[in-house]
Amino acid sequence: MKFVVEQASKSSGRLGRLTGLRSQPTTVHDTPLSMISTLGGSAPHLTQDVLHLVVDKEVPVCFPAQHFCDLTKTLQKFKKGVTHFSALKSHSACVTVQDATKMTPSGYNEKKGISVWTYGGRQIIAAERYMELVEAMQPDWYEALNDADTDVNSSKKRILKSVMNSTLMLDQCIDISKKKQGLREAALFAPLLGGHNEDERKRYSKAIIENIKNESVLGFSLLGLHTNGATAEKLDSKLISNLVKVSLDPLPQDLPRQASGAWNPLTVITLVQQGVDIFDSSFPYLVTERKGALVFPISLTKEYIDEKFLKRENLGHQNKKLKSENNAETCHEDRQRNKDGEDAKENIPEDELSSAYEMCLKGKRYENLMFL
Amino acid sequence: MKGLLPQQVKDAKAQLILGNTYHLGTRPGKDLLNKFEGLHNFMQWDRALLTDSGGFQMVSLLELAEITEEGVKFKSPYDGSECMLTPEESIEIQNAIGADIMMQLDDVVDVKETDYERFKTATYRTTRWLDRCMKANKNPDRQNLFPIIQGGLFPDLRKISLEQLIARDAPGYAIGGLSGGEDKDKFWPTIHLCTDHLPKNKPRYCMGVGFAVDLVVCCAMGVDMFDCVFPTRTARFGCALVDNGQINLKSREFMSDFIPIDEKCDCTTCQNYTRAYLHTIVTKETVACHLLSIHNIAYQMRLMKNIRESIKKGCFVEFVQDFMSTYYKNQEYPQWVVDCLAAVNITLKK
Ligand SMILES: [Zn+2]
Ligand SMILES: [Zn+2]
Repeated sequence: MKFVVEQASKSSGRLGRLTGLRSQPTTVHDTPLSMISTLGGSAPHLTQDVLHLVVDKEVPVCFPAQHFCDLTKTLQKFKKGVTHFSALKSHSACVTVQDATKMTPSGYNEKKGISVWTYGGRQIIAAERYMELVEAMQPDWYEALNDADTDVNSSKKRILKSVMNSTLMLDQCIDISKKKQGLREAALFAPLLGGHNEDERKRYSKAIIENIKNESVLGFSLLGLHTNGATAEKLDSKLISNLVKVSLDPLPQDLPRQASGAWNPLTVITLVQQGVDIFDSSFPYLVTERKGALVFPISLTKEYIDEKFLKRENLGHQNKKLKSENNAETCHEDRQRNKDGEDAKENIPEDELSSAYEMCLKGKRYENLMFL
Repeated sequence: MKGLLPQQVKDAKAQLILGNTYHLGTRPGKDLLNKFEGLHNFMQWDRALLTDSGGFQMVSLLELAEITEEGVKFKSPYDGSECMLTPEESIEIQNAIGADIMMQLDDVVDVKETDYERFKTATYRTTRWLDRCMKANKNPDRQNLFPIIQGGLFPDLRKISLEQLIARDAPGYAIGGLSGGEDKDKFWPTIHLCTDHLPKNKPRYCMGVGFAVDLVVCCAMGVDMFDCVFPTRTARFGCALVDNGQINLKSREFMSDFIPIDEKCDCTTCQNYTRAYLHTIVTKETVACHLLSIHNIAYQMRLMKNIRESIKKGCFVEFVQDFMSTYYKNQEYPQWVVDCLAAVNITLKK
């Protein structure tokens, strides 16, 4: 894997190019980019041919290892890796430990291994077994096994545990990666941890610099800020801004940084500004599951966002507000029907509207707006 | 079609799809359908559409449905209020849908009901309701209304129904009241009786028939059209249709089976996916259901195409013989299949 930063600045993020992947030696991926999140090896609800109606055939795909824990033997027999196995062979692949679309239950990690939830239930997976699975999956890059079970509420003790376990696992993964032939061409990404504690995050990032010098680590994965699922979406981008900064600051510029999770679009922009290069599609997935359609509030000015969006306590309330004002401003056809629409919208239970970036298509309220 | 884009249904070579009047009448409802000038437009489907009358769905889905001379009375599952689906209302919805082929509202009786009198009432009432449906049809020039032959498993009632409905000139005829789990020994003679009497120059549509063997047998008796949820329903349980029946991909035997469901199949599922992969996601991810639906629909469409081709080439008898000997291991044919095919002069290989 090769990564080149083409342009970088303090406030506007960085443009980069990801090349030389073992599955796609000649393909260039421009960053920042979003991988396609998968469940059981497929984009949720989308067969391969339908997926290719929406995205490029080469776009990187993210496979959480937790879906494949029981398939090591099968993949070893299959020999061609997880992308071929899942009928996504034209894509490059990244393996993460946990599925970013589902909340990871807290409190199940141990020194000897990490809990993952497979179709069959919980399993504890240690570095040896994890790396055997990764080898069989044949990704282009992968996260080292890690204990990222920390969020805004985690105690100092939990954060230290997470850091300690993960440091140990990173060392184990690096050792194993050197021994396994099948992992030579897969890039190992080191997790960036430390929960919501700036000192710990800074210390952790500094501690892994050694591994970069001896070229064991070829990228980073920003973790431990949320426990996946909607927990990422609900995070306030201002709250994590400094945490991200201290994690990324000690790192060299020329290695890619990944941040999996269902970040809302505003947080994605913040993360890009901070220098994150790779995301995944778990946010669109969560919105789809609640029957929402993403419609960005592009007419909102920065001031508007800062004042009205971030300072409001009640998410549901602000959503409704944003949505109606946004509709009225951005879509003139909508404006003509606004009267009908407004009336109907008043009846929506507030908890159905779960972010400012979507319209909920459930129920009857859009039946009058169908000619848009 | 659940989980499939209209384009995927087309790619599977489907020429005609069925819409449920009951469901469409509830949502989006006839007002909205009228606004869109029909379902073709609403769902961007530029091939043929057929709708049922809504009666069968009601009687089978709603516990409280009750049939009177006026129509099917039922409690709304939404607000509990009492509603009535009359022949006129059914046609009004089907006119709004704009289906190319519409079904009359018929008096549906569970085929396992034993009371002769109930079937007799239903037979005559179905004729009366046909007259009301024909009268209500606003677009007889472009929306073809099919009568539905009733009479349960009673030959005399079937004959009465045939005689009365054929007397009303219709563009085609449906054979109803079967596929409800009746004895196969009663099923095929009933179809045979109907196809014997129905006009030769009009399409015959056998409602609810969809197992591969039934399709082949019914074609041999002269049926032209079928509908069935079987390919998509069985997909939901992880089953794929193959030449000798179906395989359940949940079974552990497919864990390391790296070939497609059917190596000869040209559907996108078989072109791209292995049995081993499908095994890992069936009944767990919706994609698996879509993938199996694509294959199963392609299988069904191919079966019908092969039937058509064999008839064109004048080798339908050989087709049936080959089909049955592949389908039934060691040529262990069920007696009803042997009997039925014998009735149309097809002798199976031993
Ligand atoms: Zn769109
Ligand atoms: Zn197929």
